Amino acid sequence: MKGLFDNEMKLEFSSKTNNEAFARIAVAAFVSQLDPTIDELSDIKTAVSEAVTNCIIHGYGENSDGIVKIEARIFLDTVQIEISDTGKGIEDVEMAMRPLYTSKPDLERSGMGFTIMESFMDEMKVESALGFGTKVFLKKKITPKTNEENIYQDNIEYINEKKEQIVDEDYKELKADTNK
Amino acid sequence: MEINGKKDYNNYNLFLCKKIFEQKIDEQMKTTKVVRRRENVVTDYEKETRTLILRVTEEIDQHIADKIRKKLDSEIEIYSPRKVVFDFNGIEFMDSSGIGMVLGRYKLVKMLGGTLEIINVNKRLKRIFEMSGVSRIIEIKDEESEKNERVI
Repeated sequence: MKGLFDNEMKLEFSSKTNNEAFARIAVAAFVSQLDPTIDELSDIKTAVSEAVTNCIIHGYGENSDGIVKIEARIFLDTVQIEISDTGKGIEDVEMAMRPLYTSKPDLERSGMGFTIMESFMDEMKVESALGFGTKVFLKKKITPKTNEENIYQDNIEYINEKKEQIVDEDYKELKADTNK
Repeated sequence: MEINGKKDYNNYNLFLCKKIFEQKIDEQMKTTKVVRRRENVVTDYEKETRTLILRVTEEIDQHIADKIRKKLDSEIEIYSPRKVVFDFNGIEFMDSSGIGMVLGRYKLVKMLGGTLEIINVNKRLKRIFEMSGVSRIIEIKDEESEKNERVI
């Protein structure tokens, strides 16, 4: 293993809303080397999209001069994604994370961004300093599919034995019940 | 085409030339495919039922939500429809920008005395709609329930 992480990538782009699709697809492509399911991949895509939208709309206030930075790392079977901006920062992080709270109702924001990130990822953390910017940490474990299959294949005899036992026990119980 | 019982060959030739040229263009139009850039936000208006249907073929994020918002607002103003239908057939991805956009349209349509309906929603979108409480206000028909209705 080289270094601490198995794989690492960094991405920087202008804070324009038409870069959102590019950002989430790039992250999804990077994560796809872990062989995630379609659901896991779209969870990550949604969370990244929310975070990037936050950076562009709230961090830079739709000023397209800003730079949004994404860093993604893979360590064993987990992905860590850091999405940061150097915009205006969040005054009260706890309040911002409350469902349905939005500082920009005039833009028809729903106030669900952090809630969606929280529920679609395993771990979410927000760091922010007023006037310096905001950083969002996202973490998700990708279930190793091949490993499960391997375990099943290796222990198939044991599993079959257990299965027969369980069936036998059930059958005895059923007989006892009917005799009563 | 005739002057004093004789054909005016000068004009007649010109006339034939024109006809042949038009025929050739027609043939060409038939054989060549008209390549047009596919529009990803399309609306249909049915006059009889006063229904405005929106079809989207792209992942809904902030960028596309803005596009939909502009288009729908102007069309709702023009037609003042009784019913607005969001057809999300084939959409695999939507984030919270979509929720804000849908809720905003709902308020507008309700103010004008109409109703809003969302159809062909897949599992993922349904989860997001349920999480944000949109499904409590707006009628959402997913792919499966539509199939069941057809069977019944």
